[in-house]
Amino acid sequence: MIKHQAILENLHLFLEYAIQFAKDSGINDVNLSRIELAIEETIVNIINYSSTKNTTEIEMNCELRNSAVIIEVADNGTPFNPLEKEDPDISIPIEDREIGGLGIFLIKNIMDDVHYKRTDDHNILTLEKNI
Amino acid sequence: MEITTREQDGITIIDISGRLDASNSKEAENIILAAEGEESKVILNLENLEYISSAGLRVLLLSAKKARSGHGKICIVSLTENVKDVFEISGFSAIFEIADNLEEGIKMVLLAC
Repeated sequence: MIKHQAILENLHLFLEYAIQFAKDSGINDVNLSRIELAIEETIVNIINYSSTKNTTEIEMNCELRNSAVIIEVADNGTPFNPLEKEDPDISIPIEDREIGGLGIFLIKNIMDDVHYKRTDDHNILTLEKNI
Repeated sequence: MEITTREQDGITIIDISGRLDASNSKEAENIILAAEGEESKVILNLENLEYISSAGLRVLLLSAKKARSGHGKICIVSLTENVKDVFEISGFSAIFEIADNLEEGIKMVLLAC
């Protein structure tokens, strides 16, 4: 388990921790890259939407269960369920395409399972990737 | 991340290498948008870009929007496997002009103008 303040400067610490765990679990290169991307999007979302003050911290736990890497990301920021955000329309041309909103969409599409719960004043997002 | 800009055949070629993520996307946005002139022909060369996240995609989208609004022309060339994967999932493969290499990209940008 690791726990750090929810600031962009700490992003690399969460990435390194999750990547090392996934590597040790024997995941292939494509899925490793997808886990890296999902972790960045998850952490950046917390920093952008849940973190309101400098007491917001992010805790990350990794485990291997039923041939899947499970990464649990918890924060004590304001309630925010990223999965409730509407998906962007990815078929429209550049001129009409909205800036942003892609992070959550990417997470949902590159992980095998993603779920959110609010427990004990914490947002908990759980990401799963099959090996 | 490293960004270099050069001119060739009247085209602004912007080489973006390394990682384009949330920690450096603001810096990338400033450099890339400053390099794009009005009505310019632009190629974003991603040959050495190993990783991109949504923060990086946002910069590419802003760059394309600027080029289109100024009646310029923009093309992205040489996607690595990782970046191609993210382009496909995000739908960017369908909305951007993408060439396999720099030579094809130059032809694409010149032909269209």
